[in-house]
Amino acid sequence: MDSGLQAGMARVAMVLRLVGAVWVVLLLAAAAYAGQLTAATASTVTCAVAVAWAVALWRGAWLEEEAPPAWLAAADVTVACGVVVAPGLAGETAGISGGYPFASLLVALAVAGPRGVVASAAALAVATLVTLGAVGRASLAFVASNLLLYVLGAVALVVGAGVLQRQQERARTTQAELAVARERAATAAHLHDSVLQTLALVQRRADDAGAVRSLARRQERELREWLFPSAQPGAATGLAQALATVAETVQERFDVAVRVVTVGGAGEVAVAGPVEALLGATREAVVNAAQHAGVQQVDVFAQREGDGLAVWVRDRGEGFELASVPPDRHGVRGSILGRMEAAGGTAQVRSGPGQGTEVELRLMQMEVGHG
Amino acid sequence: MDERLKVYVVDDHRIFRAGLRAEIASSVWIAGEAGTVADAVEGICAAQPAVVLLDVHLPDGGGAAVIDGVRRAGEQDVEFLALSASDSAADVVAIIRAGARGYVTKTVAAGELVTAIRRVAAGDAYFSPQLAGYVLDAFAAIPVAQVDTELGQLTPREREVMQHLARGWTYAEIGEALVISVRTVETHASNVLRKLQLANRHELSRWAAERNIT
Repeated sequence: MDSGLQAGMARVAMVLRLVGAVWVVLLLAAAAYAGQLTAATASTVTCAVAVAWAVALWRGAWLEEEAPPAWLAAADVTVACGVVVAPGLAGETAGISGGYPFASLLVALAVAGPRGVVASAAALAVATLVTLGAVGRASLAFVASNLLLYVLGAVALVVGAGVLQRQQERARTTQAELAVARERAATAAHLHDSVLQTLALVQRRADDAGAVRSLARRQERELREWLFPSAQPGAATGLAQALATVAETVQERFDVAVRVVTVGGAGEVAVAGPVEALLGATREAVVNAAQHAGVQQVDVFAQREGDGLAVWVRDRGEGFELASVPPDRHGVRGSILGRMEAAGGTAQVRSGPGQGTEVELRLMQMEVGHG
Repeated sequence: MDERLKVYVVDDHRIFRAGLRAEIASSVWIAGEAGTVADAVEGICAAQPAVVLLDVHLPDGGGAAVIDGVRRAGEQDVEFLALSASDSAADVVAIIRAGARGYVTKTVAAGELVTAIRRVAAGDAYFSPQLAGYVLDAFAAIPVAQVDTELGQLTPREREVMQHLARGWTYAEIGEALVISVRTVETHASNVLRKLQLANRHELSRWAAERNIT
């Protein structure tokens, strides 16, 4: 059975079980007051057992479990049958069971479904007939009405539960369909605003390879961000995002692919203070590589190292002699080495003609905040 | 490398397959292609390629299902190179654990892709910078106290090799920098791949799950 439906039924069953217990006590008290009790001790003990079981069921909260154990329904119907039969067997003519047994049908429904209801109703009917045999014609009206109650109650519960379940299934299907339709509409809207527009642009600028490449890259990045939103906390404001922005700008300006990999939480480091200087130096190194190396690809790798942070910018391009760079060339000396030194870090440039270039930027022993 | 390697392409996007063919068909022999898991398993078993370029994301179970199917059909000699447009760390690690010997993004340059195919065909591992980065993070996330065997952690040398790969270095450049042979670099990379495939499933999957909270 559906778990939400089952939980609801379990609650109703519990309430009815408690109401039944109160009912038994009231009937016993009324019969005693009217002086109708013919087996007072047996009836009182039966009543006490009925109340004790109801309280146990309530405090034990077994009905509220995900899958209530089957013994629960069996125990409940056994107690209910006892409440029906025991006083009669002891010679009691006053019927005190009242609505107590009926609650067993609901408990059985909650625990074992329609089949449980039928079994419970059958057991209660047999117990009631046994009472008729023990007590005789005096209880005929009581027995007949109770039999009717169990049988019709069982039928009503089985049919009602079926209807409820079908209704719930229908509601759920409709809800799922609605969610799918809404998702599809949102996807279509997004694709129209982004991918289709880009494809139209690509067709119009088909003769400009650089423009097409740049359009494709921008679209790819955007779509990727939409499909796989950054899961890491701080990723939206951290170094990873800042490096991605650098990559994007350089890719668009110079038509060179920039591949960024961050490791060990480097991506979530907040861009502030020395890290800002590090980012500036990184940008300069990437721009240098894109401008002068004559390559299609630049690699950027950032990594946390204890309290520090390190970034490598690598290209496999022409390379150069560091010593041959004229002092007035601002890029490497000022923007990279100078900036890192001012921030309390280091910068190392390894390059040689034909070997490509790698710039290593490090911040050591520093407070690195989280973005 | 006179003899062209036999390569099979599995990707559900026909346009991508066509583009890939145009790019690398001069360097490798593309022996067939498929767009679904079932077609791929059948086609690979029939074509017997050296390397399968395998999209991570496929309907009906993804690339991992293709590896499973081919291995279950008794083909143990076919190697797999994962190819994906996705940057999801969990997906990438999952397909490596399923048996792929490398991972490259779909934006990879043709030359690098051919290098990766050759390396994987030779039974070695291929780590793109992205994969090397994922690997470093994956092993860093396994708490030292819970490392059950040496499989759960990288040796300092292996970590060094992974860091250089993440920086965009080639095997030859790494060998030169660390004063070891290219063959030794390859051995380190293969060992890392083996560890990634065999390391404690629980720790790795928890790491992957954390990377992928959406």
